[in-house]
Amino acid sequence: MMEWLRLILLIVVGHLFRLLLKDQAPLFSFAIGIVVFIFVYLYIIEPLAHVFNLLHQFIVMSGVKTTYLVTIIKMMSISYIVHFFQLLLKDTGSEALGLLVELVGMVMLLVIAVPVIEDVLVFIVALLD
Amino acid sequence: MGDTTIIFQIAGIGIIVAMIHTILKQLGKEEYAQFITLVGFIIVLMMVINQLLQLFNRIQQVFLF
Repeated sequence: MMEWLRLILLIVVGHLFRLLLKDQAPLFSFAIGIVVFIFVYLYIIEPLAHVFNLLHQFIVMSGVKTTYLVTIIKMMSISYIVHFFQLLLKDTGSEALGLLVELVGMVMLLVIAVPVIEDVLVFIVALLD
Repeated sequence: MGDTTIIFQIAGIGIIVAMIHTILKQLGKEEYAQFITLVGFIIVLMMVINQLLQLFNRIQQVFLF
């Protein structure tokens, strides 16, 4: 239950280590930053996995096509990964590269969304005929 | 939560490497000091890459790729 508090303490400890190493060994302070990021993301992915499993079960029970849920989950995964790298790049001081990562993510989201939009259009056309 | 000792390991390696770097610099052996920093960073990078691999494997499992 109090696991998240330990995680926040870990982030603070990481920050202290970075302050300690910032002048003498900047490369190591960078490495500590990456590891803290990885720990946080590994921690928050577990509840997400639980929620996705539950959603998948509900969708299978209701008998709706699971392709839509898979599309949504893929979109969420893209925003998750993009957020990770954006924060990482912002942390190391290159915000422009982070914005580039965001651009790539947006284009990929559009590409994934196209089949769903196509389904909606086909449905509308069938309704009109 | 995973094994958090890796953060302390990296910080320890960083402090020791910075110390050795300073000592070698005082002794006038600049090139050895640079080399020690490089080796330390490569060791740390190996640890970081293992963690990153773990994260990406988990992402692939969870997000149904």
